[in-house]
Amino acid sequence: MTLNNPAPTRICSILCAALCCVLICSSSAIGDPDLRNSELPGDLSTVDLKSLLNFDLVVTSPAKKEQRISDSASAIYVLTSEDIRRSGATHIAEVLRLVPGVDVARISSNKWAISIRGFNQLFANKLLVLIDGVSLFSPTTNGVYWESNELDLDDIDQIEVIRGPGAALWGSNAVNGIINIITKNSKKTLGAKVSVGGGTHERALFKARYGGAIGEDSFYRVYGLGSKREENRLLDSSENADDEWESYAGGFRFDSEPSLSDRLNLSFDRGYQSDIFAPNTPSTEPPFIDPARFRGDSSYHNTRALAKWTHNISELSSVDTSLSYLQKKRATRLATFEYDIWDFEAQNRIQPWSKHDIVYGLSYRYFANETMDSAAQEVTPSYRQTNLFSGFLQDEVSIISDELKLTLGAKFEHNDQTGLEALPNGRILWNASQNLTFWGAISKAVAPPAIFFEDSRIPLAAFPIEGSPFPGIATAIGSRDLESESLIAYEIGGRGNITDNFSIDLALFYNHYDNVFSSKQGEPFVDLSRLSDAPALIVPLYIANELGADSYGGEITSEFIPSDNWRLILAYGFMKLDVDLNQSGDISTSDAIETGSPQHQLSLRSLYSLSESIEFDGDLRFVDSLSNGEIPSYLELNLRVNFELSDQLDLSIIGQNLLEDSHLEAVGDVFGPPKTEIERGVYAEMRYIF
Amino acid sequence: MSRRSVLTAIDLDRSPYNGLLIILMIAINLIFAHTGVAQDLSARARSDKIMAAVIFQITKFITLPPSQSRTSSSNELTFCVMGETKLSADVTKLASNKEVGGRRVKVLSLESDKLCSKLSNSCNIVFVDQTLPENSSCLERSLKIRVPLICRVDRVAWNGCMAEVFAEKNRARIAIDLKRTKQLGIEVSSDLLGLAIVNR
Repeated sequence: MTLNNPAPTRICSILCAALCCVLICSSSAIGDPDLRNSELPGDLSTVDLKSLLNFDLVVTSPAKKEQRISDSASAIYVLTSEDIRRSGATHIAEVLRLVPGVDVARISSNKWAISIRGFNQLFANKLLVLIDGVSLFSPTTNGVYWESNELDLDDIDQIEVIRGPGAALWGSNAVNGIINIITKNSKKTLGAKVSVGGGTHERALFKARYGGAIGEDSFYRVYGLGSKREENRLLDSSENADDEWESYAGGFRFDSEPSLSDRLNLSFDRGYQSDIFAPNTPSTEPPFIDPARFRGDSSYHNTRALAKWTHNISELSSVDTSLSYLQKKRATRLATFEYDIWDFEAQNRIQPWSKHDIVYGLSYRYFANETMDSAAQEVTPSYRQTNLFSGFLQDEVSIISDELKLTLGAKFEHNDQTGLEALPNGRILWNASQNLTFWGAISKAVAPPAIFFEDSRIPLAAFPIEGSPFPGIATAIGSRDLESESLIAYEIGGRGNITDNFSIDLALFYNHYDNVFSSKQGEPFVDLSRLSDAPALIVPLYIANELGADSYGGEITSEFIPSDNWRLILAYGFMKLDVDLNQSGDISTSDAIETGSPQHQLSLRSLYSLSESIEFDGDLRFVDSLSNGEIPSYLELNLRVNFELSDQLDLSIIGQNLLEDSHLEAVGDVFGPPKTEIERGVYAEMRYIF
Repeated sequence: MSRRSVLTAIDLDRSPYNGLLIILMIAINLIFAHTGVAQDLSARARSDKIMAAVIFQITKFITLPPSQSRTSSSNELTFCVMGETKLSADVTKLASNKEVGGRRVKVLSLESDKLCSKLSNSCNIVFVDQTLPENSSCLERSLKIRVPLICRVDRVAWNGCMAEVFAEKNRARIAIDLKRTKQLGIEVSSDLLGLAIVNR
């Protein structure tokens, strides 16, 4: 990983090629001079409205590919900044409970399993999560470290959640869904804000932010935040789960519009979290499990940086270029590793013909991971880097004006692990009337193997063997022969405004998965155990691709506005997952997948303004049982009341999980935290803006 | 192998190869910036002027309820403008002393939170520029007292504004929230509805 590394020269080569392609292609799309307007009349107040709406605003304009929800041929839900503010949540993972169809299960105070349409676990590999386009997905373990992404929720502009695949645009791991968190332009966060709070579980919260302007066209904000969250308790026990944690983050965002045709965005975020990690590691001595062996303080550092430049060539064409960097360092007594990701993307949008809206782009990713061995697990090689090259093309064709649109597109990726992947999709949208839209889609998506799936050797469980002088150790062993998991998804949906104050959104899906990751038992052999430095009978469980799966279900969301100060949102989701063992005898994995996500989820959210200065909000949620009843179904309630004490000061009191003293939502994976019940909590937060 | 960060290895000071990555990105955007049609401040002024005219014209297509009589004179329509942007200034300049439905337009500029207190008893219609800083309480206040809002937005948001004005494909566009207008008791002409995106 030095200068003799071929990666940098590859970076330059691919960038040159990519940018030249974008440049050449986009140059053909420079606006037609005929579209430009003549000089404006002197007194515009006398010009009729229809004529005004036909004037060109400027010769170039933002042509960013944005769509209204009603124009989207996918199951999309958008949480606005107002939704987020009134959620009462303090962490991004908890906010996602508000999104219909998203399965949020809190494993412990600082661990979440979050997924869409099944396959939920601590590291869910079929959900892509981005902040301002920067992927938070970890190729090392194939999942998202939710606890390492601490944000000031007031700085989020909106969260777009797509249920279903989006790989044709977003690439690998956008299999069952995409969560796109978009932060506010810093011109929307001028002035100063300080928030302080605390309570039973949210022990202490502090947030400070200041935003300002530099000239007329440039804005910035800086922020810092910290929190301390209290521990929960172990399942069926009065003992504490030792899952308390502290989190700190800070950073800045800078936005500038140096000219009418250019927008620049720079941001940098740095975070630090610490907790006590007590993994359930196996032991070669009775009782063959030793949670104390690797128990100890853990620390997690994370850095995220983004530079994005948007240039509008004409009203019909724009180019987006971005360079982002993500670094995670995770240090526990079980294992220490760090990884770095560089992403470069160039994207162009053109409308070469009247009925075609084309977006295409090229991107490159450089990923490097270094793992420090521990007594429990072995990763060979300890340092590894991979390259990912990709390009996509999507054409939205208006078949009948705005009534019927067909979207065809594909992304092609080449990664060092599984080679070339083709990710096509086709979508159709029918605006049956102004208030009623139907859509359908067929898509392919893939999830490549994690680095740990390929390079690691991890003892999962130890047990005595009768008549043998050695203990047995079931050990997961990675393989470089793995293929990507693949999905073919079929979706239909509709959305409509039934009356002035009632709307409904329905999506149905059928998914077929191949090459789902599984384990395959091999011939046992005697080897030196890393757990005890003594010989043991290793029972190898080779990681393989021998499962298939089918799932089907749907989500329905309705919104009812009884009055101008009251909004109700009712959502229901159903999902059934059947795993096909194929040739594999891996019943345990198939069972864990089938029962790892709830079949039924129901939620009701109410946003009620009692007066101009008092808000009273609540959300009630039912989640079906998991893991064959090992995790019972539960019904929980969050309530929030907000008092606007003055124009600058408000006070919120929030109750979390109010219906039971504590409840179990999920269990961790191998080495995950012990079964932890999430406790009831109450906290207050005061916000001062000046 | 020593434990080193990739960031260190790709440090610009140490690796001229990787420095090219940044330089290329900047260079390519500079190229684009000069291949596009030249932009200047007059173009921005043009956009603001058109938007201001559209915002003013919307008032001609709506009928306020009889109960909406916050102004002291029934012959006067008070159009409040929030924010200190160029667009706000253009709206103020264009609408002042014009006539709408036989009522003379009086423009009240709400450039600070202190003036915001006039909202509840002075404004018939309020214009909110999207660049209004989040920390101003004016926007929240105007939503609560149910005054009709015309908003300049980046994209349609249906966030409480009676009408939203935005740019799409280099044209000014209007979105009308009929739910909101009904709540406010405002009548919207069919001519305006025919030109706008309508949320029913």
